[in-house]
Amino acid sequence: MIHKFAQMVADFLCDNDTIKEEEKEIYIYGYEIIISNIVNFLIILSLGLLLHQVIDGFLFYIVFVITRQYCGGYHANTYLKCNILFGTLCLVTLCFSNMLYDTSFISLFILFLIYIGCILEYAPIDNEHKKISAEDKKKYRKISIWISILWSAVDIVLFCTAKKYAITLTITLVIIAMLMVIEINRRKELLE
Amino acid sequence: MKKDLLRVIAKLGYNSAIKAAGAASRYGTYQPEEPEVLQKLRKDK
Repeated sequence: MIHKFAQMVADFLCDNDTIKEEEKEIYIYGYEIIISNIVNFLIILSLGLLLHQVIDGFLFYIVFVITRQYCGGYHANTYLKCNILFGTLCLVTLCFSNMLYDTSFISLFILFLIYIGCILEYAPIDNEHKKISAEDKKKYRKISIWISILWSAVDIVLFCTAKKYAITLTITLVIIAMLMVIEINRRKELLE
Repeated sequence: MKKDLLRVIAKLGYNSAIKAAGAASRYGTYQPEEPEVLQKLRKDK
């Protein structure tokens, strides 16, 4: 459905001589990305409003999107599955961030180490539809590590000032790590 | 006015495609297949 809608927009632009026929593929791809992003954003907003945790929802979204851009990980094979998974992961994060409010710094630190371990071991993981060149892999690996350092600093500040958000941030990072491990294991199984 | 609006919409789509090209994951969603033309464009840049 998202692809069809993106195609409609591109066709409309082509019919109005705004874009060339040979460039339509690029525009369809761009609109698919935009539309799926909007859908995900609305999912986050809805869940945030429902659970009265809008800021946690946005924090999850921002951390998830920025980190995954460079580290990659598991992706579902259809838009619907991806949206359901994304919504579920957001819901899990928001629920756990409430439940784990009394978590100590040591526990959060251990969870953070799990995330760091996955980044150092696996990042970046490309997608079957979007292969990354060797040069880009080196670059994304460095960026993933720098982003991790940034999140660690943000996590410490949040733990001292707004602990709940530190927990949300850490859980999001653990989820990202889990998705990386799932993808690696999925590929190992495919090879066997 | 209509032409300007269409150009803005076209630019949005194009920029989105260029920025998404080559990323390990864009916006964390299902990743549609990246057009080869886009990969060539990115290499040329």
